[in-house]
Amino acid sequence: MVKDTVFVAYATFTALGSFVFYLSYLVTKSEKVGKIGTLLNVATGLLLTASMVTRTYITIQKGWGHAPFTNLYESMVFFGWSISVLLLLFELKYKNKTLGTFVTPFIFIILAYTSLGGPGINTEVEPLIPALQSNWLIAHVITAFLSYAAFAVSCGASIMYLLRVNKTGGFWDRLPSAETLDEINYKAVLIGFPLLTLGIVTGAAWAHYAWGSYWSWDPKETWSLITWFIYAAFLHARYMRGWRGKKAAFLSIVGFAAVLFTYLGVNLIISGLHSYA
Amino acid sequence: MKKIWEIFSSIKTAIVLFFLIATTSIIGTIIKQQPTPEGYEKLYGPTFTKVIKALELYDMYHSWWFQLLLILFALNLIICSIDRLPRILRFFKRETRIKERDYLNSLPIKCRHRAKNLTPEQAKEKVLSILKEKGFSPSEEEKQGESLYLFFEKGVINRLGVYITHFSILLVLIGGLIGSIFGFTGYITLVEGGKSNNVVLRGGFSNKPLPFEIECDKFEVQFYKNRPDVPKEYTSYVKVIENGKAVKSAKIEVNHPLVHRGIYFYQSSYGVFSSENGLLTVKIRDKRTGEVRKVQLRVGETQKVPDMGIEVKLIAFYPDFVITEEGPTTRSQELRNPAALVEIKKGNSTIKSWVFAFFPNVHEKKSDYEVKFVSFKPVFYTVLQVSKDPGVWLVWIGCILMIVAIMITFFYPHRRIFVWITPQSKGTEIALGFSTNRNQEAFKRLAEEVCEKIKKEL
Ligand code: HEM
Repeated sequence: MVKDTVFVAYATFTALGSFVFYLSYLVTKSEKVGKIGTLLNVATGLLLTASMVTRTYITIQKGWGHAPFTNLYESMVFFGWSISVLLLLFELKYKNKTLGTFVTPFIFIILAYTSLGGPGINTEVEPLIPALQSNWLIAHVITAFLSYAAFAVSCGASIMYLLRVNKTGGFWDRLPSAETLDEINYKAVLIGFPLLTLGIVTGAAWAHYAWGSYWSWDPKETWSLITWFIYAAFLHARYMRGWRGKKAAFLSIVGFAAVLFTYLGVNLIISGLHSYA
Repeated sequence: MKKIWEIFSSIKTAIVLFFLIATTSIIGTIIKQQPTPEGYEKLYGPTFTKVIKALELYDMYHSWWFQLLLILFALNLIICSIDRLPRILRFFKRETRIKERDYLNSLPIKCRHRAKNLTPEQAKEKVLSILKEKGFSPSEEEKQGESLYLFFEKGVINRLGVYITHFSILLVLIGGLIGSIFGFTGYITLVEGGKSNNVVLRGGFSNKPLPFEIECDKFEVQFYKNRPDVPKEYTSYVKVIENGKAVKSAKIEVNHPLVHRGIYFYQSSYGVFSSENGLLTVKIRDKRTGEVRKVQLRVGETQKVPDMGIEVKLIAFYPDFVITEEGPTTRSQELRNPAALVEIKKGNSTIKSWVFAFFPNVHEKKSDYEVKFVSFKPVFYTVLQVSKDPGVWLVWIGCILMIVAIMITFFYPHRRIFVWITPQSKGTEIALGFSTNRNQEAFKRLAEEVCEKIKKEL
C-alpha cells in the first residue's frame, strides 16, 4: 500500500525545484527555464492531489471514510495545494512567470514543515472524534484555506511590489510592472476576502451545531476576525485615493502575517477550541 | 452636529475603527477570559489586576468600552450609508440613463464608425444583434433630434451591493445583540432514567426552569471497531415531557442537537454516575447440557430463565473488587477489577457464584452452572448544553446576504453602453460609449471586440 506521505515528500522537492527554476527564469529570462518552473509547480499540485486522494482511500479502507481535512498535517497539505493551484491560475491570467519566484517559497516552507514533521504534525490517519463529523467543517476548511492561499499570492505580489517600485532598467524590467503587481495584490484580495468571509461563516455554523454557540470569542475565532478586519481595512483604504501601491502592499503583508498567526500562532502559542488547525 | 455627521460619514473613521477593533481584540486572546476577575492577582500581580478590573479585561468582549467601539462602528456604518445612498439611487432613475451625445466625450472607452451603405434602421438592427451576443439588450430608446439613442446596461444591482453588504453586517450585529439580551446558555444534567427541567446557567450561580422536562432513557458511547480508544459517537436518548406526557423522543448526538420550542439541546459531556448500579451482562452455561444463555441484571434484581428453569439474581457488584477484614468491598468507583456475586436458584436449591471480569476461569465448582462475565455498563449521566438564541436567524440571514452581496460587489460590475445612431449624407454614423465602475480592463477588452465587429460587419 502506497503511503500518502510519500507524495508530500516528493512534492516538497518539486516545490523547491519550481522555486529554483522560477528564480533562474528571472535571471536568464529563458522561456524554457520558465516553463520548467511552471511544470514543476503543476507537479507539486498533482502530487498533493494524489496524496489527498490516497489518504481518503486509506480512511475508506479502514471503514471511516472521511475527507482529508481533519488535522494540522492534512490542512497543511491542502494549504500547499491551494497555493499551488492559485499560483497557476494567476500565472495563466497575467501571462507572467515571475510571480512564482515569490509564491513558491511559501509552498516549499509549508511542505518542508509538513514532511519534516514540525511541531504539531501527526501523519497518522485517525478516525474522526464526534465533534469533527460535520459537513460544515469540510466547507469551513476548504473555504478558509483557499482564502489563505489567495492571501499568500497577494502577499507574494506585495513583496515583489515593494522591491520593484521606483526601479527601472536591466533586471528590474524583467519583473511585472509595479502597476501590475499592485493589481495582482488587489485581485488576490478580491478573491480571498469573500472566501475568508465564507470560511468564518461556515466555521460559525459548525460551532453552532457542535459547540452550541456560533461565536464564543475563542482565540482562533477572534484572530480570524482580526484578519478579516485587516482586509476590510485594505478594501476601504483602497477606495480612498492614496492607499494604493506601497501602503496597500504593506497592509497585505500585515494581513498575511495575521493569517499565519490565526492558522499556526494561535495553536502553538495560545490554545482554544480548535484542537487542530 | 454637522461635524459629528461628517466624522461618522467618513471612510477614514471606518478604517480607524477597523484598526481599533482589530488591535484591542488581541487583548482578549492573551488575557484569560471569564465572567469574573477571580484569581487574576496570582496570575498578573496586584497592579495589573487593577487595570484588568477597571477595563473589564477579564471579559473584554462584553466590556463597556468594547461594546462602545461596536456601537460607534455600527453608527459609522449607518451614517455612511445614509450619506451616500442618494447618490447611488440615481442609477435607478430614468434621467441618468438618458444622455445627450456630448456625453460620449467624457467616457474613457468609446468608438465611432461610419457605415456607408446602411440606413439607420439597418444599423440599429446590426448593433442590437452584436450587443445581444454579448448579453446586452436595450433598456432605453429615444429620438434625440436626428439621432437615435440606445441605452444598454447590466449589473446595476452592483451599485447597491456595498449597501447590502453593510446592511447585512448590521443584521449580524443586531442578531448578536438580541441573542445576548433575550437568549441564555446553560447546562442540564441527567442521570440515565432521570428527568429534569432545571437548567444551570453558565457561570453556575443561577438556575432557569424550562417549561417542559427532558428525560434521559439511555446514554451510550460508541467506539470505532478497529480503534477502541477513539470515541465514534456520544448519544443521549431522550424524551421531551410536557404536562406529564411524552411529546417527542429524540437522539442527541454531537453535531446533531435537539430543538424544541426554539431551545437547543447539545450533547456536551458525560460521566459515570454509579458503577455499582449498572447493567451487568453474564453468560450462563449449563454444565450438563452445554446450553448457554445471556442474562442482563441489576443489583437486587431477579431474572427468570424459563427454558433453563432457573432464576438468576445479582446480589452485589464491585467495580474495583478487593477483600478486606470486613469482607469483599470496592476500592474505587472505576472498573478496575469488576466482580459480581450472582445467585442461581433452581427449585429449592440456591447457589451463589462469584464472577470476575478479569479472571474468567474462576468458577463455583459445586454449581451445575458456569457463569461468565460479558460486560458491565455503569449508570451514566449526560450533560446537555441548553441554549436559546432568538437572534440566531437574523445572524444567518445576515451572513448569507453578506456573502451574496460581496460577490455581487466584486464580480458583477455595473456596465453601461450608450449608443447614438445618426444618419449622415452618406450612410450612418454609429457612436458607442462604454462605462463601468469596476474592472475597467475586462470591459475595455469587451468594448474593443464589439467595436471591431461593428467596423467589420457594417
Ligand atoms: C467589517 C465591516 C465592513 C465590511 C465587511 C465592509 C465591506 C465593504 C466592501 C466589500 C466594500 C466594497 C469595496 C470595494 O468596492 O472594493 C465596501 C465599500 C465601502 N464601505 Fe464598507 N464594509 C464594512 C464597514 C464599513 C464601515 C464601518 C463604513 C463606514 C464609513 C464603510 C463604508 C464604505 C464605503 C463608503 C464604501 C465604498 C462605497 C462605494 O463604492 O461607493 N464600510 N465595504
